[in-house]
Amino acid sequence: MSRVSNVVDGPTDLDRVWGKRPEYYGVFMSDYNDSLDRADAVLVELCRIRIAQLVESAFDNSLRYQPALVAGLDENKIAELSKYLESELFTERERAVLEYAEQFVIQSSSISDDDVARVQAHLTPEEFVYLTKALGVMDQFARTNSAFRIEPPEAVPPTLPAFVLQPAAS
Amino acid sequence: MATTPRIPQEMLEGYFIQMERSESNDNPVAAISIPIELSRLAAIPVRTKKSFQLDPVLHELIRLYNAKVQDCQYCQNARQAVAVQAGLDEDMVSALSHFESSALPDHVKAALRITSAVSTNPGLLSDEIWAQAAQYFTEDELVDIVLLSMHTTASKVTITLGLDPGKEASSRLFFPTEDVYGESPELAEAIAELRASGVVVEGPSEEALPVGSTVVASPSRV
Repeated sequence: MSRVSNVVDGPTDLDRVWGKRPEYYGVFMSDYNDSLDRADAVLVELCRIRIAQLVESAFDNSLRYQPALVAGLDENKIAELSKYLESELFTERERAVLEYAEQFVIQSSSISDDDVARVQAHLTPEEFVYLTKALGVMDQFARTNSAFRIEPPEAVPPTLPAFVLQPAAS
Repeated sequence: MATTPRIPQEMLEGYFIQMERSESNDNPVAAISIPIELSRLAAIPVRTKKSFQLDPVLHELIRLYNAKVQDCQYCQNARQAVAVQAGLDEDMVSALSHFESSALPDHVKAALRITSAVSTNPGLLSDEIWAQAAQYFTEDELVDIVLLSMHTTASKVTITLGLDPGKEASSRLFFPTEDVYGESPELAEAIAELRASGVVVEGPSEEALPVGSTVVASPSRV
């Protein structure tokens, strides 16, 4: 369910709400998936879930990015995400990127040259550019899903082919 | 806010906030721009049958509100020509920074509360804010308000990379006929309808919008 009641047909709530603007939905999701694919999968996933926490998107928080799982990211680490600065499970690179992601979400215009230099110390110029673009679309997507109050899906929406459902808590 | 590019010179050659994605365009920076097709579908700068369906003045006020929140100099200085002709004036734009206590109409305030929540903390988009807005807008319009509010945060990437083209690049009116907005049948149809209604849909790209002034719509300009 979502807060939008007059929806279109679709396999999940995401499709039923965003599908009210089908052309926009299609182009946006294409850009979203391409943008994530260009960046480091584990960094993308850590940032994506942290963003979902910050903007309160239950939908985004309920999915997992398969390439990151393949690369070794597990639920133990994801569970520590809200305390990434103290947790030993996170590398300095991941901490720097997560701090940058939080700044981007909260007020991107306040990111200083010094802030950028801190994260760039851990990334190549290409990695920095593609990570920033990925943050942009992940921030937009999670904000929108939060605003529409789209709940965790029972199946992965077809527009998110690289994702799986979050494993049930054991 | 970044005042200089934060990426290597060779990576920003040819960059623009919105760019065409196509097989013929192999410019790598197109990958980090906003797909121009998204901007067209968001009804910037003209509404088509496939795009968001909001009143042009409200549409422009939402876009400009977010331009201010994100501190996008380029976005803040541009005006959609169609919105100006539909009644957007600079007093309304000035009121955006204090819209709750301003003389802006109630339906605009209701929409801006949604935009404000989406662009800052969407968890604050309460049932009360949604219900207030529903007094003035259909549910389809509410969906478009949310999507446009989200769409106009896309400048965050450009700003963070230090690639905001700046005030000088955009202190002007955007006309629907500008090349950047393409030549799709839907756009052509929308432009023809606007033109038939007496709206000016084309103008020199460098046409200045004097700071603090109001451009008066006039069918006689056609």
